[in-house]
Order: sequence, then C-alpha cells, then structure tokens
Amino acid sequence: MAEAPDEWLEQIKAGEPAAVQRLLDELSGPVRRYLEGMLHNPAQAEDLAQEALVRLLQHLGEFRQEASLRTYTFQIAHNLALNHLAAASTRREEYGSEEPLQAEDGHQGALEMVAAKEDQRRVRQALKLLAPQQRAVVILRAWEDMSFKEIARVMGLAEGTAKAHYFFALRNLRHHLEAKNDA
Amino acid sequence: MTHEEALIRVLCQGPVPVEAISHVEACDSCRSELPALRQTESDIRRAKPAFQARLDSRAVLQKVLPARAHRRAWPAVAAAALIAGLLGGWSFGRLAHSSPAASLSAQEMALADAPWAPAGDDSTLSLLQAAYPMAERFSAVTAADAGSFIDSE
Repeated sequence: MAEAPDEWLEQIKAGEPAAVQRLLDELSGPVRRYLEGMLHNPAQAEDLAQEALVRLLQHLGEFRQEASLRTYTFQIAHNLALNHLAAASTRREEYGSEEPLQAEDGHQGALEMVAAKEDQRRVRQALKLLAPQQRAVVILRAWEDMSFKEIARVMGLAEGTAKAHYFFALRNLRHHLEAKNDA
Repeated sequence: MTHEEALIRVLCQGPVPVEAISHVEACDSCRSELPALRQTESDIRRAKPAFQARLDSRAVLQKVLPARAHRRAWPAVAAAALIAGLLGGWSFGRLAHSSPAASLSAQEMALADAPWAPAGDDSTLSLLQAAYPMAERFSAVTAADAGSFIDSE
C-alpha cells in the first residue's frame, strides 16, 4: 500500500465512505494474514483483524503521520496479537489449527504441488515454534516486505534489535527444519 | 566483530561494512551458515499464504459508527447543557428580582416587562433557536453517515 496521501487521510478522517472502504480493502487482507501467521488460528485472526481495523478507525485522530498508515495499523495488530498470545498462554490455550493456510499454487504439476504444499506446511509449523517477537519480525519481513525500520516501529523496538530478532529467528527456524528433516 | 554481528550485517538490509564482509569471507563457520540462512529466508517467503481474504467491512463499520456518532453528538450535548445553565441562571435571576418586586411600583414592573427592556430573554431565545437545528443536524449527519456506509457495501 502506498503512503496515504494527505487528502485521502483527511477523507478517511471525515468518514468518506469510499475512502474508508478503500482503506479497509487495502489493509484487511495483509493484517489478517499477519495475525493468522502469529496466532495459527484463522477464526481468532479474523476477529483480531476486525478489532485492529475498528481501533484504527476509532483512533485515527491520534495518527500523526510519523509512520505510514499501514505501519500504524500493523502496530495495532501486533499489540493485539501479543496481548492475545499472553492471555492464551495464561489460559494454557492450545493453538495449532491443522487447517492449512492456502498457499500460492501457480500452475505446478500435482506431485510438485503436493511437495511444495508439504514444504510450506513444514515451514509454517516451524514458525509456530518461534518466540512471538521472532515470529512477528520474520512474518513482517518475509510476508509483508517491510523494511527493518518499519518493523522496528511496528514492534516498538530499535532497528538493530529487530535485525537481531530476525537473524536469531532464521537460525532457530533452520534448526527446527533440520530437526524435522532428520526425524 | 562476532560471527552473529557479521552475519546480521550481511543478511539484513542496509550498507554492509567492509569489516563484516571480510569476516564472513574469512570465517568457515559464517561462510557455511550464510547460504543456509538465505535458503531459510527463501523457504519462509515461499510459505507466504496467498489469500488476501478481506474482512467484512460492514462489520467493521457497524462497530465504528456508534462511537463516531457518540463523538459527533458531544457539541449538541454541550450546547444543551449551556442552554440549561443559562435558563437556570435566568430563572434564578427572575426569582431573585421577583421577591423584592413586591416593593416595586407597578410602573417599575411594567418597565421590566417592556419589549425594549434589556432582559436575558432575547439572547436565551436566540441560543435555543440556534441550538435546536444544530442538534437536529448532528443527528441527521450521523444517520446519513450510517446509511451511506451501509449502502456503499
């Protein structure tokens, strides 16, 4: 999503239906994908994505354009995800929907497609084993193509810390994937 | 520079210091780990879910609109409170004047009720007249917004 032009932002703040609709259209998919990657629970991800967008619209007056609207929205979603995971761990809630996420298919042959899907499933399973902060930085970087500066802003970290989280997340993921291959 | 520092510099975006490049090139451990990490990066990117399933924006808007309506209604509420205060003050003033009024002459009473008397009636009335359409307009705008948001679906 491109940086929200001032005029568009003003229209959103004024409650212009078309501008608000465009905002929701552009952000709801990525925010939902991010939350599903974080929570591994499609229903919870949908609820939290909705909550994130509601909060975005309710607090738009506080948005100071220090970051992009997209970064601001992910910041809200990230905080919701962390709170949810903390509450879930307190409740000892078990996540782990076996429902696989729909991956990009292209026009591969059936066998290749099955193999590719299996690889993708393994990677997503390994993602679940990462600490939430490491998982978040990997998803924001690899799935949402965010710069480390944006990631740092979303997560409320220094840029160097975000990079360190990313490096250790990759290293941990590699270990998890290798362990699964050996098993 | 540690192995980790060098790999972070090389792996993550941004200008890579010569020192980090030299370290990775000279270090067997880093030289073997870097391609593995890049492969893991690539695996994660390939595991990106393709779906862009959007949310039902109607549900989002329905949750937002009552709050917006509430916020928009505050000037009307403030105006009503101001009017109530003015009316209260004005009534109190009338009562306060009416008790010693017993000692006022009929002529003084007549002067007080005269149309050109500088009483608070006119200003209060004009405030009321201004406030009621304002309150109606706020509720009308809110209802119109709700309608147009839903219609736009």
